[in-house]
Amino acid sequence: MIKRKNGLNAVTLGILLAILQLAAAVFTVCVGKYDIKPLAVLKILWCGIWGTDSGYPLMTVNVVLHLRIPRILASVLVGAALALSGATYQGIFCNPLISPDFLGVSSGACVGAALAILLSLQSGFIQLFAFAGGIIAVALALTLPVLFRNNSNIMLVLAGIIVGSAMSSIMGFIKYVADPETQLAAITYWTMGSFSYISLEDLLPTLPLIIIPAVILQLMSWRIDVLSLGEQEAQALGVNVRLVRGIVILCSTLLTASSVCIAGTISWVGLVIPHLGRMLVGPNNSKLLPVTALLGGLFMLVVDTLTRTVGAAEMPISILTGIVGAPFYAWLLWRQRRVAHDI
Amino acid sequence: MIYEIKDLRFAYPGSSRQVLNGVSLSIEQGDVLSILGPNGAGKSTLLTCMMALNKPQTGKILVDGKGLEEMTAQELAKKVSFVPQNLKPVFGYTVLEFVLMGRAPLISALGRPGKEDRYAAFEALEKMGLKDLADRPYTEISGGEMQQASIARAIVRKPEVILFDEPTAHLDFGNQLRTLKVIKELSGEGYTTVITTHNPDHAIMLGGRAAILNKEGKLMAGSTEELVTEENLRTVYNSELKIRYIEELGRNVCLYPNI
Amino acid sequence: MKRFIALMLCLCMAFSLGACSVGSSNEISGPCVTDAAGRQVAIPENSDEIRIASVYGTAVPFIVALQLTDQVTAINCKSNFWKDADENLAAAGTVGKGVVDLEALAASGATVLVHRANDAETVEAVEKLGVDVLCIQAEDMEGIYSTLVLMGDYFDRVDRANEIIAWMDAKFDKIDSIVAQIPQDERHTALCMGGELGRIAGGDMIQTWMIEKAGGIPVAAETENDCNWMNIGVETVFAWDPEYIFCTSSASLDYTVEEIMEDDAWSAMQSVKNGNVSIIPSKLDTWDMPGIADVICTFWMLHQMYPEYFSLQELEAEIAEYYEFMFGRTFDSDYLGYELT
Repeated sequence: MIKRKNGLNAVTLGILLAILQLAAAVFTVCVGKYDIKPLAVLKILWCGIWGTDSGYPLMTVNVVLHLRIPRILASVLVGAALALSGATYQGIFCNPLISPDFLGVSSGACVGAALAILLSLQSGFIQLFAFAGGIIAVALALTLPVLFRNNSNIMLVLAGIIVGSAMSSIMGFIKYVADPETQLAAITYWTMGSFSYISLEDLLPTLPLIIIPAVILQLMSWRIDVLSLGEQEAQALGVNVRLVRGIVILCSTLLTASSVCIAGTISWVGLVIPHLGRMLVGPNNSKLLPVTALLGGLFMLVVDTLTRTVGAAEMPISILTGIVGAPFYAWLLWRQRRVAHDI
Repeated sequence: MIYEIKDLRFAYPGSSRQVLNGVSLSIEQGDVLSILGPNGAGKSTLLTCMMALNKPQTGKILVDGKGLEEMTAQELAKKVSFVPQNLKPVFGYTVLEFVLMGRAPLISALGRPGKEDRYAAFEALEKMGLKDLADRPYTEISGGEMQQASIARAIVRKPEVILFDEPTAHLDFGNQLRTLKVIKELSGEGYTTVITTHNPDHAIMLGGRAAILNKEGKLMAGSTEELVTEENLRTVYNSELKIRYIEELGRNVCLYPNI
Repeated sequence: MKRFIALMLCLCMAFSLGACSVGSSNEISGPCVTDAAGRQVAIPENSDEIRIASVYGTAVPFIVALQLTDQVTAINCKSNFWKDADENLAAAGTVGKGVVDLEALAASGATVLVHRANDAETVEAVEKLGVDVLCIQAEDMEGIYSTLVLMGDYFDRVDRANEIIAWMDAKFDKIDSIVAQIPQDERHTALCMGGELGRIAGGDMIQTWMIEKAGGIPVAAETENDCNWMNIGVETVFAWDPEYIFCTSSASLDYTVEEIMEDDAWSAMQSVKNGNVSIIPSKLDTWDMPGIADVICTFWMLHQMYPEYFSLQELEAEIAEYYEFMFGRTFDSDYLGYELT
């Protein structure tokens, strides 16, 4: 195992992060506006697993099992998914400044969700529409290079910009048509991202859509390394660039679309966390991906716990990730300044 | 014949200039071939066509008798390595990780480098004198060392042909010399080496065969001795370059005239 | 990585199994009401133990009218007026301003959330928590009456609800009798304008209903937009040229009456020429919000359009009576922020 100079052994770090993650999860399930003693929480969890009665009032049990647990699970999953997606996109597009929504998946998902809200559909449909919207946006972004017969990375970035802008316009129109009293507020709130109304029923269908792509990406991590050298170089090294890129984009899109349809758009996580991961274990994706996923989950968990415990009203999560993420990103870049290259 | 290029024509999309205008060339196994030509003639383009990174409009390229269109990128990469001109490192992989990537054609799609691959990588690093830099981030080594790492990456999978795109372009004299030495050694070990270069003297030093690509996209090939003459150089470079035999070095040398 | 995934999968399955076993029962036995979203909601046995939470501003006047404020644990009041007037409301906390903070709701000890009728997601989430949801619809006069009945039944305030309904009926009958005296050729056209110029209350909104009730001819009667404000455009308003323009106080206006009066574009309008552009009172307590205050809003419109038939003194008397009925006291017009002419 190669130890990076001044870096951490990736396996040790990975184990450390996993333990930290679990500890954080246990800690955060005990905090919240509804006051419950930690011991009570643990007892309720234990009884919940075995389906026995813990003896606590129904409201308390509901808060632990129906409010907090789904939220914690959701935030860890979404954080990990977004971070993974960002890391792999940055790899295959050889650009550490790319975020997971540059192909328009987030804007597409928002349009889908907004449409569902406009049509007054139930929350299950909102998720479905959001997911479909994200996939459709990426599909569009991927068809443009085929139409222009130019498959280069730059063409894809441009296609992403085009699709993203188009989605924004459609979004503007939907917002204009929406009822300002109820629907517009709902759309805006959804777009800004929130874990408030998560339930396990919402979460379970998306679980395979997050875990399977994550596993595939990890298996392909070395190929992603090769791709991150550049399209031409990767091809000269015998890699089927289109195929690998296609699979990675598909997996990343599934990850991001699932995240968006669980919790709306959450910015900065996919951009910043991979950077942090690289600082800790280097760009080698087979080490980076698990570490990034763990860091992302941890970060999201902490931020979401802050949104629901600090302050009278719950802040939409994108605001907090922005407030934390932007200065953090600046600090990361400052620390890396002596290695500043073509960034 | 390891490479057979027949009547290749190539122009960049949207450009009217025919970069390669009916280029034919055959390269035997073990050859060392230097491709000369003025700036922008299309030497790099020829190499990228040979590596299937660009698709010619007409013409055929055969590697070991098999057409490039019929080969997958993996198949081609097993036989041919490409050392690009400009390396733009974005991520700081270690030199070892970087060289390991040269084993990609030999590793399955979902696989990872194994013991054998690591062994080959260490060997290649040793050969290029980079053993001590193995776990340095590739972004933190000098230009010359980067070039060497690139060559190490090219040889780590023991291909049959190595294509070098302007290998001495951004190096100081010392590194240029070192690089040429390595190329000569590799040729001696049995690799077929093809380089593009601005400097006719480098072609002379490497010996073997040479080719000259002019601005009209026409190529002429032959042995270096026969091809690299003062007349040909005058036509190609529009300058009165001199070729003189230097006793001390025991070879012809290409020299600038007085300014 | 794979081990971590496997562990997470096991945890997920375990929790989901556990969570499924602790579900809320769907059986409703005993007396229940059908709320505005068509849901059956069981009436609590002991109405004194009901604790109310709401993020829906429209619910507040009803809670106050039915004298339920001492049972409120969390509320969202659109205006400070309500909290100033009632110390129970002032003491109540909050669980959000439109979106419900579920954990805060749990912490508030509320037993019922009074909410708007078209928000299935919130209803689902709150029900899962084990808190009742009572959906109300009070966008039109029919909705206002049915909300009173619904809340009266649920909170065991049937007598008070009936009292309010009777009072409102009596007041509207009085308005009817006054309006009946006004000959057709003296009737005036009127329009209610919203937060922006060119944004109006359509035919299905309560403001238009009140204009008609007060003997006016609503120019916007033929339009409708799902009980929402309509951006009909200033040109259409010019084409209609209503004699009276009432500006709502239920939304903040991005214009002032003075601006309209001085604007050249509006100078040809009848309402501007005759000085009949006014803001519906009051700054602090919105009279044209759906609620019991619509009674005095209608009286006010009646006075604005037909002062000869309904004098200033009569209006002031009705206003005073309304506040007595709702709060047991009167409020200064300066305090509330309105001027009567």
